[in-house]
Amino acid sequence: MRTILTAIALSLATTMAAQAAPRELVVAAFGGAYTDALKKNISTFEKENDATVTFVPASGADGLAKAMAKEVDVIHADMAWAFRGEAQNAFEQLDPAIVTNLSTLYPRAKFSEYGVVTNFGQYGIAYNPTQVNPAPTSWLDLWKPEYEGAVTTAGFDAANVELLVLMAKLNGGSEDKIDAGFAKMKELSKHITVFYNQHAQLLDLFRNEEVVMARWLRGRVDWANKQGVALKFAVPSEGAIGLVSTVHVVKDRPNKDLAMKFVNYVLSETSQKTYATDLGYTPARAGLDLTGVDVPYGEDVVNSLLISDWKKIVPQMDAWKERWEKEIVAR
Amino acid sequence: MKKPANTILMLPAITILGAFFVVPLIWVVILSFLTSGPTGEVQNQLTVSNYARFLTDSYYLQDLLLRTIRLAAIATVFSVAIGYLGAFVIARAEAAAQTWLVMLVMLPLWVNLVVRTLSLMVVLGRNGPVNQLLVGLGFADRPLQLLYNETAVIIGMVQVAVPFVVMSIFGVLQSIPRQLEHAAMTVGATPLSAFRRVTFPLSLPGVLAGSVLAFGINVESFVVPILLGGGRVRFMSVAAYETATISNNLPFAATIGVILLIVTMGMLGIYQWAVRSAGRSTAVLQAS
Repeated sequence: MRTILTAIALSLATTMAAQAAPRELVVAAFGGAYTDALKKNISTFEKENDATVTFVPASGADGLAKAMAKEVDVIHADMAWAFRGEAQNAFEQLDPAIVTNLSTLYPRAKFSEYGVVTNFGQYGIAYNPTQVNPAPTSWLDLWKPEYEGAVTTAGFDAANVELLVLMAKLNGGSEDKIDAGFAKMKELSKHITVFYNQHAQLLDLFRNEEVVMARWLRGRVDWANKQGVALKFAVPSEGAIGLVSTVHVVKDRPNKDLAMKFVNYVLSETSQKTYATDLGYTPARAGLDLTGVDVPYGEDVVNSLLISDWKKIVPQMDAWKERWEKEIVAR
Repeated sequence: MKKPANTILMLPAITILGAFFVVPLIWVVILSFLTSGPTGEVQNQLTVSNYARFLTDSYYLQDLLLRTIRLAAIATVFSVAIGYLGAFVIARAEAAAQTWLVMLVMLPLWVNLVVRTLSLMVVLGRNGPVNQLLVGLGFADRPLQLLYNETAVIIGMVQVAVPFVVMSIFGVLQSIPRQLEHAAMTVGATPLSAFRRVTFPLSLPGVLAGSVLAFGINVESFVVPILLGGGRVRFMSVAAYETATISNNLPFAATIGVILLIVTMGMLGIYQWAVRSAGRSTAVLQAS
């Protein structure tokens, strides 16, 4: 009898809920563990706002295309795609009255009026401690002749653009004067057998000792250790390269206020802590208690990250990519 | 003239092909004549500058287009040779064994291409079975670098294309009556010349279909050059993808795609014509 009553009550509740027709929010995110972390506490958000949130895996070109086609309410991006989206007028200005958590963020997290950085990752040097002795202290250690053939980095991705700009800056150049950077990266490319493309692939390269040192993410080194490949992570003296995740509200979608609330939700204390605990990323929000969480945190950490002036880089990406193919990939 | 009923029956196919194949293709062609702004926005300004950029730069012509075609062609030759051998063995096997052999050939197609390619990386890796065999048998002093070069990409493409070649040649070999071969041998042909003069010419349509299929699959390879090339082997499809997703120059990405399409179609057209006329001349020779 009780079960029948519960069933009736449940069906009644669902019918009523269906009649109330919760609003739907479509969020484009990076997928995988990242989306899992976003989903972790999403039911609270859904309940509070009487909404259902659907996540679609899309980022980069795909994410921006979906934003331009008005297929999603919120997108995630990195520096390059954030600037492109802003330039193409794809985003709504964030409303500080709804996104109240904006005031809790480190200054560096405030991307622009059209988007905000939700968390930072650290690219440093992952190394095999039995093969690399002494431990690497500088990005330039990747260039050391004794490790020729046993170092790697990815292809022309955002972090390698940062490395390229850093090499230009260390040699008297800048985002506007990149030649020195290319010269230096060309030297490095001669030491590289394979540019890795997948994390699993780099893990295998480390496991087979084909590679002893690589530019990799802090969180991935922990992951490798869990997979039984003993690696260590070094933050180079020039600074770790920043991996930046931004979030944006897509322009001209019906549930704009709900989308703003979602942005506020990802900046909330709970969500920000989840980025650290579940993904190993440094939160963009100040004043969190992260005791017991092995993630670098604080304004010093955020300010020490190498993040170039992407406003200058984005218009040059096409030319740089071509140059990369011609000068770096060529053997 | 066909009956109107036929046209109506063809409508669904035409609609689907039109909406999902012809229209996007036309859009890609149009896109290839537009320009890209500094932040990736497509500008409605007709130009041939994308084609000029590609066709006047030896990097795009030599390193990209020629390499793509060369690798795909080499892989096709190997795929057809291996595939013919496989098809021949299956065609001559017992009927009961045939089903199983065909199953075995099709089996890899049920596994995701990325997974298959990653497993090939294990096989060809520094500590993989191939290297262990080479070192164990004394052919090499230390493990060879089998991955992340053009050879690895070719091996990967052959692995992908062979099942398709086997299936297209097997079908044709099956349909050739064995009596023809026996007849040739009763009038004094050795088994080898019976194959060379009778079976092989008759199986040419299968070879043609198989090689066209293999070349088409190889030239548009994407996963294989990305993973087995280790970022070192440049390939048209990868370049088109990266031009769109990294450089964010959609019109130029479209141009790369259109050029690959035109060149591939041109080459396949010439190839079909060449094989057909070769087939005809053999037929004439045999008739005389």
